[in-house]
Amino acid sequence: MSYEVLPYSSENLAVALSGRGNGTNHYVQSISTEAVKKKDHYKYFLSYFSDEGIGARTIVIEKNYISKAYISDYSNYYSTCFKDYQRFCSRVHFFNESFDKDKFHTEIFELKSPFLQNCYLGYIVVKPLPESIIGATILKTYGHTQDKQRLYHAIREYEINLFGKDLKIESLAYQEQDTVVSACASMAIWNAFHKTSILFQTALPSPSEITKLAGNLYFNSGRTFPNSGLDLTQIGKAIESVGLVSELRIANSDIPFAKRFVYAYSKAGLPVLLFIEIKNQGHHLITVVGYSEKDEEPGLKEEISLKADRIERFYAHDDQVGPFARIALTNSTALETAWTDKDGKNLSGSIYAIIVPVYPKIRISFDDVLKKSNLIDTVLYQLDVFRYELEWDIYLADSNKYKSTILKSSSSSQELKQHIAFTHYPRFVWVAQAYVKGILVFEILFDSTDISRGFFGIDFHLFDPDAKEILRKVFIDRKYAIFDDDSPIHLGEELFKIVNSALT
Amino acid sequence: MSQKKAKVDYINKEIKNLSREQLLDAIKKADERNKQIDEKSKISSKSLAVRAGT
Repeated sequence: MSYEVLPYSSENLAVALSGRGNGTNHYVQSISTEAVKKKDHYKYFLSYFSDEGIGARTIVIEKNYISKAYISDYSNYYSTCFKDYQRFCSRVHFFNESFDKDKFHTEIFELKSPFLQNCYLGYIVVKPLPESIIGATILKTYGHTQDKQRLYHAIREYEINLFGKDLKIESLAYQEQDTVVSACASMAIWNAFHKTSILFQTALPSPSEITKLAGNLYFNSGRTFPNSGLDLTQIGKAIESVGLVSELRIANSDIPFAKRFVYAYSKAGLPVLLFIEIKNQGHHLITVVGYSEKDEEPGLKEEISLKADRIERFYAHDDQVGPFARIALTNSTALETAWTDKDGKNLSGSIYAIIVPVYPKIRISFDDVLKKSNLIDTVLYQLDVFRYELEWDIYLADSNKYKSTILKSSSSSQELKQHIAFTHYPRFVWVAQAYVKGILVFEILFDSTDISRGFFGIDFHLFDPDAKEILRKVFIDRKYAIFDDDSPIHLGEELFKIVNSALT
Repeated sequence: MSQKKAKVDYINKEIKNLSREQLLDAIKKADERNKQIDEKSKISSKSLAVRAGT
């Protein structure tokens, strides 16, 4: 039979990941279940599939599966080894309903039945390798909890075919490094390319191809394979090779800056590469796919407040741990990684650099928008316009998706919806929204394709008419004339006309 | 952020009576602080050579 159905248990998870049949024939080159149980990934998946996680009930093992990512790595390396590595993997599927083989068999042929789709949790490909067995993995995310809002902007839809049955799942592909054709950096880039290939219609090379595209730098190991990691130049080269560019910042342990930078690009659905340093371990690359926020209003202060400041955790694909691993942002310089020591205590670390793979035409960066918003925030604070702290929501957006959100929103008037729907914007815009006490007061749109010296806003939207009179005094009245050339804000004559029209 | 919750009176009745010069001075100070943001994108060849490989 080409598949097996097992009730979910810790033992059966180890059996499924070992690549062995349940005490029967080997169908891929396997490792022992004891070896599986020692792996950090196994421990992570046990927690992920528990009732506190996504609650697995049944495992279906699909034997002799050809994995696109693995077959390319096989072709690039393993096929030329003397040892006879196998080409076929197994694919292990998870469901949150209990069922047996007969029920599964029946459901495959019930074309209109939504049963399997409704209880599908995703899959793990098991590679026929000695230790690095976790291949392409696509798993459902944790849902929202009452106290913590988890947001996974970098996920996408996958269409999965299981013996002819079409299933869909929202996730982002993950896999473990094999330390041969790819180390952590190639895997983190591979995770990110799974989303950028959909967002920007760019290529999706396999992990071994990414390592080759990164180029061989002789001051590292001197050779491409076996690979022991990539430096920032190589990471940038791999990103450029698929037609994207890197928005790179050296964070130097500045967690508040990292929160803002990651948030701004994540909201556009972009995965963000985090180059972290783990205490006593070294540098490591992970892919941030989401975050959670705390519900805490900022207090009134002179410095700008951003919605991104509320982030308390990142969720990241860490090839040494698992998908959607929790990264707690403990203070302004340190984070708590998902890595653990021998006592099970999480290892601390810091953020060295941040890399966002972006479409080349997105030329204006988050920093440019932050600087403009900072100056406008200063004006509103100095003139004591609001009784409470103004909180900015600054993010990159696909203008069509931005329009859809506005059309669905209850905070915009019909007139404003019509204006936004019929205004021609570039494909990607920067949005800087000003909230006070959760009320959206106004927003400024910026052209992401502009040049930073002539960087002007392209539109202004007033959401709360109650603020019209006071904003007019600030932005339009000649007393302050903040749009004039001698003001360092440089918002431009065109935007002045737009603001003037919106506030009249 | 939903606007459905009861609306808070968040706008002050009058703005603070600053002169234009006072306001521009404050903006210029904020513009100086903005320069710290630019530091993050100043990248040396040494910092590029750090390798991720754990």
